[in-house]
Amino acid sequence: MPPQRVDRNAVFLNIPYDTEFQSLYLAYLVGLYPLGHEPYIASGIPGGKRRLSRILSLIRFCRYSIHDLSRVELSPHGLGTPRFNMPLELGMTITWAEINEESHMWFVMESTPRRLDQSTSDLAGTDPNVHFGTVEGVFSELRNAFVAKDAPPVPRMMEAYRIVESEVELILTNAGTRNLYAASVFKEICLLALKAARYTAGTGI
Amino acid sequence: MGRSVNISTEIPPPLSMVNRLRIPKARQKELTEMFERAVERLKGDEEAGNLLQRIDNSSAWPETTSVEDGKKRKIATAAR
Repeated sequence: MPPQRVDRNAVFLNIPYDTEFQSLYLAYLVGLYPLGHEPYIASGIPGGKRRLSRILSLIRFCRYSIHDLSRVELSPHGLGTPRFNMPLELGMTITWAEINEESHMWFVMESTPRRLDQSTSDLAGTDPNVHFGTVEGVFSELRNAFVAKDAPPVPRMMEAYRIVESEVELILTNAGTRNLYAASVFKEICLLALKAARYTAGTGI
Repeated sequence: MGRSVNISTEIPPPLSMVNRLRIPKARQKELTEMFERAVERLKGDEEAGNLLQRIDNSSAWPETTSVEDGKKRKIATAAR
């Protein structure tokens, strides 16, 4: 495998792409910028590369990854099968991080304490960041994971969230989609999140 | 892994991150205007909220008359 540049500010988000998760997804995008980090998601990369290859490229490129396992549950649609994508990608990441200890660090997010012990007992000894399924919880846990000098307080992050959230509908309409995870929508939300981070930090837009 | 990292990144994020998003300049301008409008709107909402709060907390307002009092007063006026 050819060597790839690692971006020390890049964070790969391994999250479910469903409607129930939208507010937490927005929270991750809005919360990472004021901590000096850039979010990356698999659907944010245009092009026809195979999905798993894209994900592996992202894991290699990003210095950090966040694996939100809070919605690892039985799918309410179709055959009601468990959702394995997030654990699969976490497994890929753990392998990569074991081989390249210096170039990658991963975090696990959960909504409930001790849920991880039941769903993925092999991760025993790993302390997940528990966000309790709330936007404030995501901000709080991002601040705990990335202890950054001058990190904004959670109320400031909430202010940024409200600004970005209020414009989501317009972005979706412009893109002609209801999919918040679509590549073009993701990019535009990121731009607003970046502007919100600068605005709430008091350094202009 | 599930632990905190002390990181000294540039806060707020550098504007070079904007370039990496590869959004056409014209659309960037539209989004910036959209953002500015959202800020103004939320500021307005906040001011309106604060005003409502001040009105709610104000003791200068007279006690409201109950429906029953109103009826009594109307009857009294008619009798007169």
